[in-house]
Amino acid sequence: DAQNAFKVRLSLKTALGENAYAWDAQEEFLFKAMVAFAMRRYSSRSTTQTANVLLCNVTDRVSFWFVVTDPSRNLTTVPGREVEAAIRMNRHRINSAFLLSDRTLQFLKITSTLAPPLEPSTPPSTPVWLIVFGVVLCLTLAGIVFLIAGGIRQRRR
Amino acid sequence: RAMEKSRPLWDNPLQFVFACISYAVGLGNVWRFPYLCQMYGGGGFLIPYLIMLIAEGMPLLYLELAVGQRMRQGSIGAWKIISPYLCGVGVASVVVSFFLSMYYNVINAWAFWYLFHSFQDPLPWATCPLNSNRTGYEEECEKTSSTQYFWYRQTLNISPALEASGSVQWEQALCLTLAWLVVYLCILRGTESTGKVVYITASLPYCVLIIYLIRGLTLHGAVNGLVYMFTPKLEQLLNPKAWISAATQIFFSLGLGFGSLIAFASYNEPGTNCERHAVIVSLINSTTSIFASIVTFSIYGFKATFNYESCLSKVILLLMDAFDLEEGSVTADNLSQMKAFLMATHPQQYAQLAPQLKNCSLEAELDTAVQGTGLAFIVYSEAIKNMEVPQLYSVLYFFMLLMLGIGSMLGNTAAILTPLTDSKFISSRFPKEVISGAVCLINCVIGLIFTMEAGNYWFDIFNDYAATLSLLLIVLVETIAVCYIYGIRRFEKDLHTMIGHKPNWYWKIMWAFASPLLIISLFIFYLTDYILTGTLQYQAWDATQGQLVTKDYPGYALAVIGLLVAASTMCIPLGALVTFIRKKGKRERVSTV
Repeated sequence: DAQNAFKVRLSLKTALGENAYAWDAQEEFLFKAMVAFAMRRYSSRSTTQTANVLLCNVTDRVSFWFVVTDPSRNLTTVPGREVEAAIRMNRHRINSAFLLSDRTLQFLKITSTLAPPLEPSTPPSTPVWLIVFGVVLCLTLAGIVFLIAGGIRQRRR
Repeated sequence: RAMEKSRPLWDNPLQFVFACISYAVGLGNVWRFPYLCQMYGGGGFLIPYLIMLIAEGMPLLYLELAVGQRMRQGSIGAWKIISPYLCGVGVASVVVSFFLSMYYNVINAWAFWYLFHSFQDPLPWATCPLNSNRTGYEEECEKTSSTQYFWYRQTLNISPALEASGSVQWEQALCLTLAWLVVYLCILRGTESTGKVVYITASLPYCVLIIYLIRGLTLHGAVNGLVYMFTPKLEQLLNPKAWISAATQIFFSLGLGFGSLIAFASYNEPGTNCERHAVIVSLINSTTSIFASIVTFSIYGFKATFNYESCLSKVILLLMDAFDLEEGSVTADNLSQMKAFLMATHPQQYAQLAPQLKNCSLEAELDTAVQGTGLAFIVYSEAIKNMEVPQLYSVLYFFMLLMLGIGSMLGNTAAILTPLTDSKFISSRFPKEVISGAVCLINCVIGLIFTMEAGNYWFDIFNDYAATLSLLLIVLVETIAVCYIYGIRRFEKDLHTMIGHKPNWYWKIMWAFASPLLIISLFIFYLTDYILTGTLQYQAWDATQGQLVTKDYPGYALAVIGLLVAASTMCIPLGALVTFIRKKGKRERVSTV
């Protein structure tokens, strides 16, 4: 069921270094719980259980595939779009549960929206460089006027 | 005499030395010498460099300073005194200085631009801007790096070719105006103001260089760059280009032939020991070059190591993701073994992945030798963005560039203004401030050409051709004039009256034979080089590819190049011709009376 399954990849050592925890059955249980939580939050499937989230192919990397089955109808999987939307909505909560970020807990088919541009979305009325430019300009003009005035005064004397 | 008494003087000899250092130590020490060192054999390049310094640099510098100090006039007046037929040499110097000041201040404008943009967090060249629908980064920036994008697109807004002139960039025009106002502020009152400013412009770059040296040497990977630079490749010594580059570098680095040194020396007390000053200034200039290249190469090493390690981690990540290996199992050390192992165990998958696996090489990163504006504004800003507290280092660095550039501008404008203020015709009508103001204004207006979209291409034209051949010719004529027309014995006696002892045999041999021969050979080399290469070409920025491409100069650009060279070199024979005609006219009038 390739289109409804998602591959997940975790980079525990990259994210946490010394404090990385080992990936074992308990962590898998937490993952199932988070996905079930996301499904409950998103759609009206308030009966989704951890048993409805199936993991397979867990590797050393750590990476695995998962699908979500429909609780009301056995042996059918929830469409990928729903799962994707649910996870997107709750991405931050899922990341925080594992102490990871979008980059270190990757859902391979679900792209994260790029971080907003680093300047504020409404640019300031005058960019910073113009302000500094204005300051230096005023100082220079003041110096020039001062020196010229001094020269004129000297010549009159 | 009344004119001698009213000539402004330096407050003390230290101001003069600082002015010369400030003028000679310029951007070329920072961005050209490290490149040459890397190209021509690393530590081994120091051998031709030092030999040329002693054979060419010191004698010619001494000569110019002595002429200026003895004649106590700017370049036009000084050469007129040596021989009336040589007034053309002075005029040629002024013309070359004029061309130089036109385009050189644009570098200060760029330094201002980067300086003002350093007061932001994060630095604007650290990341690519997002494209218009926020789905990814700006396309041009993706193809190249964010620092190159900032330089070519956001600073220069460069057009794809010289022909596409585009419009004047108002931001650059503002910075250029500010740069000229600052220069005007410094030269406004002549030596009175220049003398104080050079204390700062001469010493501040050293402070920044020392800070950068400490910072650079403590950077991770700096040692790689230093080792790479200093391992002497002695076989390069057999390459004639190494010797020619050494000679050229010494020649242009000291700023001979522009008339600035003559102008500075003319404001000296007649008894100043210019021999000692010549030796000191040339030694300090060369030492600064070597010092700056140590800093540059630590920075190179840091940047190369950083890029190499990023490349490695990308490859490692790719392998780990593709084969689902445990994190930490592939490291930099076992990368090649792991690659071989994976190739053996999963050949098909590996073959699919192979095109993406780049071969990361530290040597290749270090080999990218850069010079000129590319080094100063791209490579350095790339290194700075990866340091801690980048804003501080950025501000320091661009402030240093500014000091170096303004210091050289002071010399250039002095070379133009001193003959103007010396001439009784002009100085009796207009006060000093008005003359300086007029020169700055004219240069600023003409300089707006370099703020257009194709401005950087015109900048390169001026940088490569405005001064090179003309200066060689000017200095050659100067040396021959002093030794053979003025007479070396007369010159000896003048020096004896000025500094108290005659120059010893070493200086005399250098002036009379060695230096002229060196200059002639340089001149012949450059002429043959230009003739042999046929059409002249330039590097244009291709936005679609995100890199530089080589293009031919259009016809009118070649005409401008020809004009630039001719305008200054033709002054020498024209000056002699005009004087000859004038003298003949006078003789005829006298004889008819």
